[in-house]
Amino acid sequence: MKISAEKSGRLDSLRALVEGKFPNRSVRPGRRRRIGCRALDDESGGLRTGAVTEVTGSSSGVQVLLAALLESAVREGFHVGLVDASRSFHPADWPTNQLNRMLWVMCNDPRLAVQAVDFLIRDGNLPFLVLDLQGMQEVGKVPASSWHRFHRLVEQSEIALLVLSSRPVVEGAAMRIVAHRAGHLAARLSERQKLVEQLDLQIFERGAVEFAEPIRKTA
Amino acid sequence: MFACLLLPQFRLAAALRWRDFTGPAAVVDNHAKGLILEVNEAALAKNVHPGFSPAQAMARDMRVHILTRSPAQEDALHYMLIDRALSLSPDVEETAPGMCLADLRKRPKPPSWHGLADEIVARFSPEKLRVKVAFAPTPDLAILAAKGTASVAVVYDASAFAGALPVGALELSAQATETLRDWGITTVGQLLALPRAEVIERLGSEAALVLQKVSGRSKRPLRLIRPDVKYAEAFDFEHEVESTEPLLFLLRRFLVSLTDRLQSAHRVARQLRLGMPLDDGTHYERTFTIPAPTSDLEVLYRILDTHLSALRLEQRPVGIKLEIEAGEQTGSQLGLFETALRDLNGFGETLARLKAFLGEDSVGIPRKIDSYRPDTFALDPMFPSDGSVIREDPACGIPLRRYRPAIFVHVETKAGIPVGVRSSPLQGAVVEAVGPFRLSGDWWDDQAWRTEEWDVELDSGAMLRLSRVGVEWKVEGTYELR
Repeated sequence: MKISAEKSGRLDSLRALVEGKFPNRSVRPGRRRRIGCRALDDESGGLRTGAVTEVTGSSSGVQVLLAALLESAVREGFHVGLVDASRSFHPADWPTNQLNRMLWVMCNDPRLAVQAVDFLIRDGNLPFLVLDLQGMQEVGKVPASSWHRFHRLVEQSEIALLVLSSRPVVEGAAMRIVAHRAGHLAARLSERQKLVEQLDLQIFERGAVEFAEPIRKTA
Repeated sequence: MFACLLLPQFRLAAALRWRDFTGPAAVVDNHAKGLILEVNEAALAKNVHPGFSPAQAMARDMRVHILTRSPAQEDALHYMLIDRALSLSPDVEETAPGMCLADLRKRPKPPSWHGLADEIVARFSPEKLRVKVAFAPTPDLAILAAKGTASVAVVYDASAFAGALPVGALELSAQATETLRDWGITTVGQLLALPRAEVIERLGSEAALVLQKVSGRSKRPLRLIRPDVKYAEAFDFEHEVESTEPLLFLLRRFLVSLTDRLQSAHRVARQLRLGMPLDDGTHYERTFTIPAPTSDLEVLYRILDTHLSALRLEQRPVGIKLEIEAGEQTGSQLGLFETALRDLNGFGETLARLKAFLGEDSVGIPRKIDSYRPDTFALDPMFPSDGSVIREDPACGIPLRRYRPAIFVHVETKAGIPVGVRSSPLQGAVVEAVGPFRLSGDWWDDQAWRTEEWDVELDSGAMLRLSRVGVEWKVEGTYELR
C-alpha cells in the first residue's frame, strides 16, 4: 500500500502539530546498538533502541541470538531483563558472567509477563528487555493494545524491547528478525561464540515513514 | 557545662506517643497489680493520681484514658532521647529512663545557652513531646534544674541556684525531711549554712551525698555510653489491626522521625527491619536491604508500602516495630566501562513490586549451584556489586529450554538406546541419540536421586533432552522445537 502525497503531507503537518504541542514527547530517531552478532550488526547496524523488535523462527537460533545479547552485556557492562513467560530458561547452560548481567523474571502466563515487562519499562533501569513468549499457546490472549502501549513507552526511552515468539504476534514491531536453525545435535560440542558467528538471520525493518512496508515471509 | 534532657512522665509519654490524644490519660503497669503509674495534667485536674487503680480513676472521671505500659515504645523513645543528647556531645550518660546527661565542656560555648535549649525543645515539638532542658556547671545540679523547671533552665551561679532550691527538691527520705522541717529548714541555702559535720552526724550518709550534690563543687564522672544508637520505633495497638492503612500511617510517622535523626547524624539506612507481633502470639518479621543506602523518607516509605500492599497474613497484627540499621554515607566509584543502574533504589522497588506480583521465588539474578542435580539454581536478590569478569570455560552448544515440569513421554528403545518418541505433540523417530549421561547424588541420605539423560534429534528436526528414571521417560527440555 502506498501513501499518497496529499495524505503524506497531512500526516507531516499532523506530526508537526503534535510535536509542537508535546515537545517532550516527540519521538527520537531510533539508535542502533551492536551486539556482536555479525548477521545482525552487518545487516542493520544492531538492535534498535527505543523500539520493539520481534524475534521469531527456530528456537535454537533465537537462543543463540539471546546468547549474543548476553555476551554483549558482559562485554559492555549493561544489564538485561528476561521476562520468561514459560519458565524455560535453564541457568546451568549459561556462563556465570552472563547470568550476573541478567534479571530473570519467571511467569506462568503471557498476560502476567506483559505486565512484568510494563513494570520494567517504566522502571527504565535496564536498557535491554527480553520478553520470551516462545512455545506459549496462550500468546494470542495478549491484547493488541499492550503492544501499542509498549511502542509508546519504549520510544520515549533508550530501551530495546525484544519479544521472542514462535510466530509473529507483535503488532507494528519496528524490526522483525527471523532466526534460522543454529545447528544439529553435533553443535552441542561447538563453542557458542562460533554458533553466534554462523547464525543466519532474516531482518525486516519498519521504516520511520514507510508504515506500509511489506514484511517478507521467511524462506 | 552539663546538659540534662528530661522527658517528664516518661512512661506515659511513651504510651501516648503516635496517638493524637489530648484528654486525661493514665498509664498502668500490668506487672504491678495494674495500678496507675503516671498521669497527665488533665487527669490530675480530675483528681486522678498515681497509685490509683484504673477503677478508681474511672470513678473520678469516665473519660480518663487508661493505657498499658509499652516497653517497646519506651525503648524507642529512650533511643531518640539518647540520639538527641549525642547530637550535643559524644559524652552522654543514660541517667534514668527518660533522662540523659551530656558533658558539654569539650564543645565550644554557644552564643546563648537559652538559644541552644530552645533549639533542643523545638526538635522534640514536631512529635508533640514535652522535654525539659537544663544546663548547669555540675551533672547533679543539671538534673535538679531540669526537674525543677517547666521547660528550660540555665544555671550560671551554682551556689545561688542551689541556695534557692526547696528542700523537697532533694528527694530525701521522709524521716530526714521531717527532721529538717522540725529545724525550720525550708531551702537548700539554709541547709548549706549549717555546720556540715553536724548535719551529716544527725541525718546520716544520705545527707553527705546530698550536700555534695548541691555544693556545686563536685563534678562526678558520667557513666558514658557507647554512641551506638538504635534507630527504632514501635507501637502497640489496643485492638487487632484489620487493614494496612493504620500500619502505613504509623510507618510513615516512624520514618519521619527516624529519617530526621539519620539526617542529623549524617547517616543512611542500610536495612529496614519490620516486625509485627500477631494476635496468635507469633511474630512476623521481614528485613529489607536498601540497594543504595539512603535517608530519603519517600524511598524508604515506598519500600514498606510496596511490601505491605501485597502482604496477606492469616493472623492480625497487634503491634508494629520498625528498626533501621544505619551506616555511614559512602560514595562508590563506578567502573570506567560499567553502565550502572541509573536509580538503584527505584530498581529495588520495581523488584519488590515484581515479587509481590509474581511471588518471591519468581524474580532474581540466576546463580548456578555447585551440584550435578539437574535444574538446580538459586536466585540472588540483586546484581553482584563486583562487576569483575569471572574466568571460566567458554560456553558450548545451543542452550536448553527446559520444561518445568518435565513432560512424560513414551520412548521406544533398542538395546537401551532411544529409537522413537511416541507421545503427542513430541513424536518421531530418533535419527541421532547421544548418551547416556548417568547422574546421581545425595546417595548418603533419603534424598538420593539417580537419572539417565539422552540428547536426541528426531526426524522432524526437533532436538530434545530426554531423561529416564526407572522405566519412566520424560522430555526435560528442547534445543530445537519443530
